[in-house]
Amino acid sequence: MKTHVTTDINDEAVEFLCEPQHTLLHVLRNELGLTGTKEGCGSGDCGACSVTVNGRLVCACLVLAVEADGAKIGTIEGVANRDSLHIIQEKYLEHAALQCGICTPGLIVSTQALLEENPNPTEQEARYFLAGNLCRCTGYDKIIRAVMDAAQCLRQGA
Amino acid sequence: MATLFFNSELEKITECRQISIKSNTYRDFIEEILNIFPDLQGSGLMEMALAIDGEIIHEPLLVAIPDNSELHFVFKISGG
Amino acid sequence: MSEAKQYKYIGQRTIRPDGFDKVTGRANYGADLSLPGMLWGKVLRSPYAHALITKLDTSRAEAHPDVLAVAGFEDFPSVNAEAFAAGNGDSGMLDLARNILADKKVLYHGHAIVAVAARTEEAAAQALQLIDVEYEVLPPVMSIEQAIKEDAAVLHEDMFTQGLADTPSAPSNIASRMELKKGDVAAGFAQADIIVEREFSTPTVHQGYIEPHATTVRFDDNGPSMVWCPTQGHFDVRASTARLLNMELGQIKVVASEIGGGFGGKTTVYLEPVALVLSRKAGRPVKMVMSRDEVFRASGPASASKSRIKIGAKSDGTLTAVEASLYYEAGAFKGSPMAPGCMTVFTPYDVENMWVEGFDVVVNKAKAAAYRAPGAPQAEFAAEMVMNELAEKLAMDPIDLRLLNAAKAGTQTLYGPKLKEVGLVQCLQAAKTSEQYQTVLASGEGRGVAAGFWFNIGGQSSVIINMNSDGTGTILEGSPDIGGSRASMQMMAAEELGIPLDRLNPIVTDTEHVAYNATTGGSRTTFATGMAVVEACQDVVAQLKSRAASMWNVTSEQVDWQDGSAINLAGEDVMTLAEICAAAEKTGGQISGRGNINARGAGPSFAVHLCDVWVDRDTGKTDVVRYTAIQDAGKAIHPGYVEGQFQGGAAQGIGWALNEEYIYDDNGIMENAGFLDYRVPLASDLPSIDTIIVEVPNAFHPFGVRGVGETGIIPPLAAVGTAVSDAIGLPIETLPCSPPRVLKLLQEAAK
Ligand code: FES
Ligand code: FES
Repeated sequence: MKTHVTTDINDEAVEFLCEPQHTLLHVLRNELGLTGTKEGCGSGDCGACSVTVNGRLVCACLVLAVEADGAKIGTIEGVANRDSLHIIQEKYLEHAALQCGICTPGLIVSTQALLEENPNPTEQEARYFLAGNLCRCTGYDKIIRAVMDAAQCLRQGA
Repeated sequence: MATLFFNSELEKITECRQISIKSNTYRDFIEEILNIFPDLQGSGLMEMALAIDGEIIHEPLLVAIPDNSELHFVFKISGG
Repeated sequence: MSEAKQYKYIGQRTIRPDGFDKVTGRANYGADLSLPGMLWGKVLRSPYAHALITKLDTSRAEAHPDVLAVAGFEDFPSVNAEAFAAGNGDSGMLDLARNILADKKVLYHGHAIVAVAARTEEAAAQALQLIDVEYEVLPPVMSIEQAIKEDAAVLHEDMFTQGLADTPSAPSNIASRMELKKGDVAAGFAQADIIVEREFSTPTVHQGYIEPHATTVRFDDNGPSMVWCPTQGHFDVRASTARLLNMELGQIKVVASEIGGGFGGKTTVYLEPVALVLSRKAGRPVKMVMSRDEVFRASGPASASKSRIKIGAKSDGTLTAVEASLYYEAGAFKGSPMAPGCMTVFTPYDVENMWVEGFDVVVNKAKAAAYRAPGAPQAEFAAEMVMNELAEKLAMDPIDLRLLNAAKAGTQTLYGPKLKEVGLVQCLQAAKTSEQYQTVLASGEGRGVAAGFWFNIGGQSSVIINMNSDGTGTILEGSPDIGGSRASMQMMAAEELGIPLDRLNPIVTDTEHVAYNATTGGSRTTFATGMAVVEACQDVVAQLKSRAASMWNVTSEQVDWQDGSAINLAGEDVMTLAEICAAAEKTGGQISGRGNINARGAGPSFAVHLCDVWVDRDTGKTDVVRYTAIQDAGKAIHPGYVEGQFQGGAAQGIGWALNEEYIYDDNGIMENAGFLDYRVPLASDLPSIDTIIVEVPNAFHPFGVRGVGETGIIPPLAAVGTAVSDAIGLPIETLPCSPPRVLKLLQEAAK
């Protein structure tokens, strides 16, 4: 039996039908075509599927799609303002903080959540906040530099 | 005259470490050594890369063999 | 090559051209493509590590209303065992087929047996439950020690050890042995004042790319069938798939999606041929995606190893002889990276007397795949640990010991040729004067230094550059971009043509738009595909000059090319590239340049890493507190992505040294097939990783490039291992230095 869900994704009203066992990640990727959110494990261990639900950072693979009913969902597709990148996205590019880029959407969503919660993180705070987002390519060095730089720009209102 | 050195795997067949080579193209050179060491046929020699003076050439078919050069057959490497 | 050459783009930190799509989620990776009418494919996998399949009945699954196709080993028509037994085939292909769908025998837990395609993922999963299989369980062979025992269960009845003096009469789990020697080691050891000998082991580890294997395919009777997948080499996916399915290359078009990491693990096929069989049978597109569990159990781990290293030296540190025995696990089918292990193990050192033997051993684990400098980390780990022990026993600085013996231009390698110009000495010197090496260790900390060597390769690359009438151009290349290579292609082309970066758009095409490209691996892409880009640019420039010449009514020889413009040497005229392209319609049509090469002259890359750790003596947990990676890049086209390769390699090597390992139960079943229990380094596990780029140009490349992708994973194993050993004052012989293992060492020493 499919359930009808009414939700808001990146400030747009969205309706969908889903099976009770389907995750939010499944619906985003396979039903709504929002493939920017990635699946690396399906078990909450890699962070590639990071999205926000009512402003809270979650792994979309651990959220049931029906839980999206009445909620506000934020995904990577909502981070840039059309062709103008968010400063976090710009800093990731400037610092070469992505290699293959599969972790990048999740990391950018997590970085945004970090900087909303803590606009002035220490490097260690950033490393611990982002510990749920695996990156196998970069060794994190350039990611952390991008995050710290973005934080500073955001604080200065750039 | 170039000098061909055998690695220890090939040496098991040739029973010598090095020989002088008269040929100046790869194709003649292969013919020359197979004449001297018929048992090298089937040793995978043609699947190996050839190093000429340290430059490893994976597909040496058309190369020239310079005078006084040092030649080595090298296992092909792929990588990850 | 002139050292003083000033470049406009090479060496800059430009923004990668594919960056926008990758930070906005628009880039499409392996699992991101869906097609209308698409089915979902799933694979039934072995619940045993070693068993004979005595019965396999798929009729109940086929009867499921949502199931449209089932595929098994017999669907690989060109690969049948009899043909191979008769010697008319390529045994590598047979092994590949047997690995992706088992033939009467399963050789590891998770080994694929049959696949189904159904209307939904759920239906496909249900159908797997309806397949009836019976097994005769055999004893699992889970380690090198077990595998090489006389009475070991044999994985392959038809495998007889190759490379022995006498042809063996009984089958064995040792697929082959090789030996390399130089000089006389017995004499060398006799001259030594000190000899250090030790045995080591390293675990099975996984490449750990974040993106699971995935594919979407559409079989087509009337035109090329389409395969979409994330791969390091779509031309080789096409070749393997065509061989397995008895198709012509032109009947298959492989589209390389964006790739979410590979590190060597995406240089082979698992799902693609199977999905194409399912699609052919069902007459519908098919999508298959591995779960993380399947990725761990059934795709590319890197070989576990055992090794013995013996090094002899004079009391002043001069090495007199080195010797190694190296055993590599190949997994279920032969073909571990034992040969490159033997060839790299002592290459950082110039020693007169060397002897190395290697063994390729099959065990009941997934078939090992390439992993960054395959074979080298295991071997060089062992050799570098012994070098550090030697330095300690001689009371010498470990960098000085290495400088004294360092390989350089003219050093005779064990694998054959003499080295050309290389940068090991420069890396060692940079390490010595680095900030980290000058930092005094705090109490409880330990330090390790290690060097690493990898060959790098060239190979085939094909590039086409199409110019447009407004002077913009498209670079068509066929090397999947895993870490920013589109940026380097764009930079090299802009430099060569003398036009701004944003006028050139690099595109990784499918298999139909450029000729064959070897797989992205062996650190070859910036080197070899870069050379093809330069050649294609030179072709474009030659045509631009001749078009300008025809406009000026002079010969091409009277036209020079400088900074993106043609210059009439017979007069005053200058025409920019854009002006010539705008007039191309009148001078013979628009211009395309081509560069099809088989690149040779790849330059080896040496690295030196420094690692400082702190070990918690109560828990055995190691924290890396400082880390510096120094490596010879030849020439860094994009320093940001070059540093990224050093850092990424270092992080993977740190994971290998400290935490990562496959853990099996007594039945050969992996117990930690997920990122929670197979712990790769997290952001909070690592310090910042400092980098120093050394540039000793490779004379064979137009810009001096050496490959940089692989070497960086080699030194961390011994740098970390030595640092831990230094911190706890005990020898390290087994990786990983995980907390329980280090704690046990400390507790045993306390007794
Ligand atoms: S896919 Fe959700 S955490 Fe990995
Ligand atoms: S850039 Fe590849 S996983 Fe992060």
